[in-house]
Amino acid sequence: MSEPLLLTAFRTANAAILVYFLLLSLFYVLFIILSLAGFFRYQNLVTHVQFKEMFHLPSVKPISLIAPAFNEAGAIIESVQSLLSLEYPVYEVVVVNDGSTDDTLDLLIRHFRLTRSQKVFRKVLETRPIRGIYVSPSQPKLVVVDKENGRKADALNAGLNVSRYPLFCAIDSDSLLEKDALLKIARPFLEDPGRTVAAGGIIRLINGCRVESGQVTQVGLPLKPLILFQTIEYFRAFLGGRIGLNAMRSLLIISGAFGLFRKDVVLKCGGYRTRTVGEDMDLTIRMHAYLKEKKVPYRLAFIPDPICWTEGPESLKFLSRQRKRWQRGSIETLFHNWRMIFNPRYGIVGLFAAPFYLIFETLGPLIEIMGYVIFLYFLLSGRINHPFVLLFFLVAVVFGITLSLFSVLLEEYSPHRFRSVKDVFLLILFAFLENLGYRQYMAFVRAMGFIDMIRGKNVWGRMERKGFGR
Amino acid sequence: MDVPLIIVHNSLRFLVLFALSLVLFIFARRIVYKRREAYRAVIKRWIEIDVLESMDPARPDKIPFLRGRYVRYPGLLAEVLLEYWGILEGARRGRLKDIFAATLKERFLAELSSRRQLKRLKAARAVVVFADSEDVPRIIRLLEDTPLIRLATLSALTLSPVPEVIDAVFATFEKDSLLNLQAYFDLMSSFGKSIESRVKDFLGRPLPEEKIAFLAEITGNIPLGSLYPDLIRLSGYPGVEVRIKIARALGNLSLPLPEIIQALVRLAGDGAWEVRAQALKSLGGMKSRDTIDVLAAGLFSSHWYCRLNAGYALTQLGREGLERLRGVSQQTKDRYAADMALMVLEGIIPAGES
Repeated sequence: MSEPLLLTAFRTANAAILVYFLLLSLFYVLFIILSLAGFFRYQNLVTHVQFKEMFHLPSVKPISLIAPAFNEAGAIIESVQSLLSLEYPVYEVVVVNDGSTDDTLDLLIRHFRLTRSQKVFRKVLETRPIRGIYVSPSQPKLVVVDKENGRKADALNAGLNVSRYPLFCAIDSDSLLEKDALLKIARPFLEDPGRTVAAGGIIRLINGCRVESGQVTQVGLPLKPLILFQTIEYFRAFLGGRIGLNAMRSLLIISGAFGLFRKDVVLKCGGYRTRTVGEDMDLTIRMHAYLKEKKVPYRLAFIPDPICWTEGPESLKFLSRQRKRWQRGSIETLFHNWRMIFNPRYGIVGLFAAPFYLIFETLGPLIEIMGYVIFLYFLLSGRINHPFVLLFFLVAVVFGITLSLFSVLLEEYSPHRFRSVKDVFLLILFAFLENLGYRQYMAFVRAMGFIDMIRGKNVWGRMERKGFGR
Repeated sequence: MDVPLIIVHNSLRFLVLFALSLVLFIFARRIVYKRREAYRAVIKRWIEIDVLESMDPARPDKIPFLRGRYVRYPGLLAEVLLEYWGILEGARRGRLKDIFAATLKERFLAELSSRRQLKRLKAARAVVVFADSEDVPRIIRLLEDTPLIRLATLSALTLSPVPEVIDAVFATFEKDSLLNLQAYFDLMSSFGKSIESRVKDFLGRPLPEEKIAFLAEITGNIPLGSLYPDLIRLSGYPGVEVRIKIARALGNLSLPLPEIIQALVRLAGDGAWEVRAQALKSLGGMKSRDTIDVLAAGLFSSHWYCRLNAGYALTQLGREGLERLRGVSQQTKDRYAADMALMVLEGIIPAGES
């Protein structure tokens, strides 16, 4: 390619990236404003309307908690104990041992004195064979399903088959729920039972918190940079992003770590798709598609209060593996449901949410990397207005810092904020540092996830789990 | 400097200043909040002690003292009074009403007239909980306020039902959107049998399906036994949700009358499996041996939930029901029915006896 042509191409790309950055900034500011408004409205509501008074109703629907477990020996007992001690009128806990190769099942059998059951179930969804169903005489709410390994989506489908109740809550077995999390997340189903089909809650990192008897008793932060960066990311994604997207009726993910769904709707959508690693986003999008196509009025809700605590990876290797997997899941899901993108038939989901996720969330890392490459090219070739580019880069960095600070502010307004001023200082410090290297590295990792997908990589990848009892 | 450079330069200056202000705000808010929280905790402890002392009728001087001392902390005083309301019973609640009337009522009533929703919301709960008969028109006005205030009022009324507002509650229920429907449940249930005639009246009105289903549920929940003919009349209602609730309500009435059993048997043959499943469950509660064949047939239903409910219903019929379950578990014609019967038997017989 001749140099003038290359130069023109780079300049065009440069202008496109500038527009992209401005649009992205605009959306993020909008989400922050909507999040603040939504958050304050919710706080007023829960302060002056006592929802616990309404949970004595016979029409409050019982919930099946489905927790797939694969090699979770480190945390499984604490996690199941926590699930069994939740506050909710009627619920069951279905733990699906997805062919673990460690002693997850043995631990469960020993600890809860499980016995093999003759339990029969409706096989609505195809799954890998179930080897046995276990129940506990001392814990009637607990059902353990032992099946051949088929990955998380397959385990969730098996749990759906075995579960009995009309609502189900998908939860990671390495996570802990706040005692009243189910009461809070079920509220939209009580308020608007006809239309509510799914609800999601906030996920937060448990690393650094004190856990006693399956409950977080003291919120804290560890002095580990990777966890601190992830904490800021989680705040931004859940407090800043999802509340805002929910206000725009554009929620495309109800997290697989903690989401409540209407079982009949999920079954009509065919359950979880097993050939993806982004089964949570895939299910949410397919639910949108199904309900829009059937012209059924519906709503997905995001509640900023029910908390699910989960363990964040503490090493760069496992964090990168997790993020690549999320990225692959997101791309696969959007490509699988490509017909929805820019399709007015799917309303705001087709015209805004799906294109937003595609352009800004999924392709974002690639565009960001491309921006750095162009920046480097201009820098090395000397064709650069140095002060402008430097200032523009600083604007991007400071804007990122401001967004992170807003998410710290939202966290400050939440009832689960960190107790010590030292923690707040750490969060603010890492809100600054996050934009100076970590964010760029994550963009690179996510771009690699794109390449992994093109290469056909479809493995889940082992994750490290240290357990909550540390 | 060219224009783009000026724009970027100013944007950077603005963003840096904004980010720094945000940092300062977060820290300042945290420091102020922590100090305020500690201060409020101390004040709240004092209020708790003083309110407790003023509960003693022999200390009439205490109420004016409360009013004078905590005039600057109406929110905290209301919070403490509401907390005590949740703990105390009977005459002592009356004393709490007196304290509220003497200390906060005037101020909260003024806030109810505020144009700001948040102010009205904050005042509504306390005004409704500590309401006297003279406050009924105010409560009725609150029931006609915005959905959020209405929800707060309904929620507060559940804590302290005022019989005089029953008609207003029903009138609001008729007009209200389906979104607030569940908030009426506890409230109406707390009124008990006193709402029987209204429920009867509303069951006969052309209401949306969801509201009819809701009223059927209320009828079973209280329970309003004398309304069973109305429920039976509605058992042929076109909407599935209503028929499900009718089947459940008839079961909850716990009246094993032949008409009710017949209606449930009819519903056990309904076209919708949800209705069949609920009717089978309710039939179990009737504990009538005449229904044993219907329940056993339910075990052979093509629908899992019907089989499940029929199985558990049979366990409620004593030895005869268990015998029938054992029989079904041993037959080989329908594996699904046998598996279900076996599972139910396994669940009710302690390990070692099966």
